[in-house]
Amino acid sequence: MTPSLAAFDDRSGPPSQLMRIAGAFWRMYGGRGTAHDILSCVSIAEQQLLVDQQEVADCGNYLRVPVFHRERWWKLSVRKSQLRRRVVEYGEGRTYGDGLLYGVADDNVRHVVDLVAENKLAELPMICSDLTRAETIWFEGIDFSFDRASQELSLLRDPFDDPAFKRSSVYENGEIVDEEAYLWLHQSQWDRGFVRDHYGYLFGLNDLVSSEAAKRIVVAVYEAVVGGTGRGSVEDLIAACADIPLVKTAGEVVEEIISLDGKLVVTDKNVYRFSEAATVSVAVGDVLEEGRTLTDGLKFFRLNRGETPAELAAITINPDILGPDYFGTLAFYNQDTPLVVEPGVDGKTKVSFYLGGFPPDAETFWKEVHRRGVAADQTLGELLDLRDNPPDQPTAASLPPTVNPMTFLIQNILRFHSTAALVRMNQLGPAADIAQMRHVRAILPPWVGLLLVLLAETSADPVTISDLETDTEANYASLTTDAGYDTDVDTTTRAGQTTFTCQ
Amino acid sequence: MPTLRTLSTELVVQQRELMATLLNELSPNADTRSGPLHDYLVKPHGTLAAYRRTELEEMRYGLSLLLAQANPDIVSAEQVDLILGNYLLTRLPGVASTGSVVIVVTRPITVSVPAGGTFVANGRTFKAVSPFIGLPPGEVALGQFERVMTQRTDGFYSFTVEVECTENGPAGQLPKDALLVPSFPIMALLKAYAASDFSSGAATESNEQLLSRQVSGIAAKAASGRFNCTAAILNDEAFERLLAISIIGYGDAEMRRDTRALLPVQMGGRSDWYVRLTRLPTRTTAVHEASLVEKTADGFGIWQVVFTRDSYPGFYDVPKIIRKSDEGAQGTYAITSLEHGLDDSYIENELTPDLPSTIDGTFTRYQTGVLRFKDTDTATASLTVNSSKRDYLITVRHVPDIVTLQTAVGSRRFAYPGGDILIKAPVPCFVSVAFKVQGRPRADLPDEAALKAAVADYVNTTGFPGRLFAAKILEVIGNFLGSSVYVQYVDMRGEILSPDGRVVHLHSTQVLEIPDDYENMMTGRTVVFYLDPEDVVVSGLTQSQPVLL
Repeated sequence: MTPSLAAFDDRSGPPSQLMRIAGAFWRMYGGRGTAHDILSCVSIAEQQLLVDQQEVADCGNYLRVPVFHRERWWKLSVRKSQLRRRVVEYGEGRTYGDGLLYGVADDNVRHVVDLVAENKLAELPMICSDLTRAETIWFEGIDFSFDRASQELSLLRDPFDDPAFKRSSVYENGEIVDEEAYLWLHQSQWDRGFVRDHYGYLFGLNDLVSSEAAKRIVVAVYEAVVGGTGRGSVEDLIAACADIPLVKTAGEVVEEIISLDGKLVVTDKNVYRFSEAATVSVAVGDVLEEGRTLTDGLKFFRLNRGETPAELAAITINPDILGPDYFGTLAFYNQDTPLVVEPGVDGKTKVSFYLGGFPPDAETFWKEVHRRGVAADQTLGELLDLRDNPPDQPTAASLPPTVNPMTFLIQNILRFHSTAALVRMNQLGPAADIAQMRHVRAILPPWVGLLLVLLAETSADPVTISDLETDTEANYASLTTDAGYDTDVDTTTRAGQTTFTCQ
Repeated sequence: MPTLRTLSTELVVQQRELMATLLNELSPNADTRSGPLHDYLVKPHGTLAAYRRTELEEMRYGLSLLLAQANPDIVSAEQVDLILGNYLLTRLPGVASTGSVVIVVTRPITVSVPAGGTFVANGRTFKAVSPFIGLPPGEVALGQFERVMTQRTDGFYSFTVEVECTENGPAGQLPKDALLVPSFPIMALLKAYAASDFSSGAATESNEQLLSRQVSGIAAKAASGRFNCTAAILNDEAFERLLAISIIGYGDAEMRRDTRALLPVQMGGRSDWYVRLTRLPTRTTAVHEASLVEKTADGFGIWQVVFTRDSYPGFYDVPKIIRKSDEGAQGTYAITSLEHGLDDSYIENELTPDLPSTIDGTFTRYQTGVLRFKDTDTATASLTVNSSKRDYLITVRHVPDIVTLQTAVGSRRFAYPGGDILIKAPVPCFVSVAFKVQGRPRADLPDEAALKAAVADYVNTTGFPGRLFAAKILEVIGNFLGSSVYVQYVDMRGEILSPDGRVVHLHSTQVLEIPDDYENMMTGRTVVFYLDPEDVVVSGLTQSQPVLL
């Protein structure tokens, strides 16, 4: 029979069984209570070995590899002198106006402990004063908080004020110099890098921070490598990097959509959590296919039919794609743009349309297009000519008056070897690791590209400018580029769309 | 296996505390600080629990090659081989360098080389792979071991024998013309030298090398993602010792082949694979017939040789040109031009890549060349331009293996439908390294040949690093130095042969860094460092130290 933790928790479990094995003498023995207690202690202590053993076994399977190591009980000794008050530091993500001042101690958090251990603590649900009596139990989020990045434990109450916590004096040269309290961390999760060290390293994922999302990244890459890259692998990888879930199994039925500390989509099989900013794109009763997205935070577009995604305001392409003669990116906007017609340039009609970016780059681009067209004796103007069998060079009358640059780009270039993904940056999950998207390059066949659009939403603040006597709305947009991801066509954002309008 | 002495103190204390606390809570009157419960329960159980937990942790190391490599004292080589089994891999055995040796004798007499007869060169020992008998010209060789001598242009006689290095590994790779000294008598011997570059041997595959190809074991061997493409190549026995590969594709700035249509934007659908299969490019010397194409005012002339795409696939350069009649002579005629060309005509049963521009075919099997050089020994007054021809011994550095690899990836079995994969020899950066070691009087200076081989081996296995650091070379050198020998400096020079024909010079005592030149497809992802052990210059001296006592 496979041993299990349930067996240990059973009242008729190991202690009683061990007593029976020990023989009849111990059941009659006057100190049999102590004997039973000893066997109970041994049994409880053994439970951790079962956990360890199961973890080792699970590490041999890429789907079952544990994200964290679990310690059922871990004793944390805290010296009174080590408890400190929390001082707010700049850059830690505080909200302006929350009553705190940088560099000044937070009176609400008086008891902060810095953890120092070989392995990093990742999650801590409970702190107990003891192992069996449950005199004091502190819960994460209520009685304490834990910051994984700084390995900082912030206690709401002072453990030295609670007699349930055992304590002892610390002596130095025969004198009491400090006091030490013992906190038992229960079911704590420790980052031993299981996912990274057993599977991530195979694919160069050496900088993974352990998380469920990180495991999904590894699983996506693993399955792409072992089975060959499919669309699903690429989408799974991007979703994992953004920590935005996709539907896990085919045929799930949406049962409920809840707004509670974010958006929850509840199906008959799973619960999916999204950012508060997400707009859910399914309704109750919908039957879902595996791998589909559930919100507008993540979308995938297949460009093979030349269709223009309405959600994209523009596509920018960078010098990697354009060539070394360009200073920066060129933006192809998703809006009708007048076609500029210049007759008689090098003997042929030159056409162009507006491209965003550094103006000399756009000029270089159109010069090169025309040069190549003249050299090949088939210019872009001639290709766009609306006449059948045109007898001469096209003029404005025989050319389309406007062009949608983004549609032009998709229909003439991107549709053949590219696909696109849109990620709204304000909807990233808590364990998002956008930098890992660079690994899309490793699993994507080298002859195809992925247009990764990281969309930073604009926000609007009304400002009053003196002498203008009107409110003015300023829209701010931030350019978000994927620095580590250099395979594919490019990233694009609404940067460049920023407007400054007077009301 | 852990021992009680090596257990983590923190873990032992935790386990003991857990037991003691449990016991105290269940039996508050029990004394767990001393006495039998402490001595026979708390202490041994805590220690043994820590032991078993440590043992389990070490078992876990045996499931990961990364952890195994980081804990070599814990995970045995046998355990590592078990891990490899899960990845469908086996450790590649060592291979000895082999090659042909030219034996030059002064008289046409019968001479013999015994089986296993040894030669020494560059601190390595080479043995004859079988007995060989050199027969004077005119006699008839009766078996594969008998070789008839040929008379050389210098009047002496020569025949060849095959040898192999007695040790596995790349250090046994002798360059062409390297002198070998036989450790047995050969009558009338003038000299013995390597007929051509020896094959590159290989040491038994290390854990580190295994780590780099581990993923290829489980990866689908198919033209799919970059891991899969690499795995597919490694799956072929001919390429299983691939040293490095850099796959350039859609979106990479080095990809220029797909930008040559009407719109100056990458179109996708193309992939260039820069592949390093050997530590050094092959040097081949052969006789070529050159045509006189120009007479110069000094009475000599410019001669021309045309290389087809099959002459020297992926050739880099031409280090030596001499007249055939001057065989054995040092020096070379000056090259006046070496123009790259392109022959992408269809090859049966192969998918021929799209090569819209000549530069796209540089360092590929489709590269052709026109070599022009000035012969400063042959008077041309009586010769006719475009008609007169002469034979020359020309040495070329090239990468012949790219032909078989291009054939493999373009084959029906491998190529993806509609695919376009171009195999390229890496853009070369030929490096030379010079350093001086200095020691106290009577200090043992390191074995020069071994030191050169180690430095070259390091540089030649760096893959596509983009940078070559002197600090890393110092580390390699440091492994050879005794306690009283030090390195004074490391001077590194590099010559990149750009695909457009330019030579880019690098020089540093700290780091050689490959500059980015996207138009010419020259970046850290396409350039490799080549270091011939002959180009490692070591000088050493001993110097008195100040006397303090």
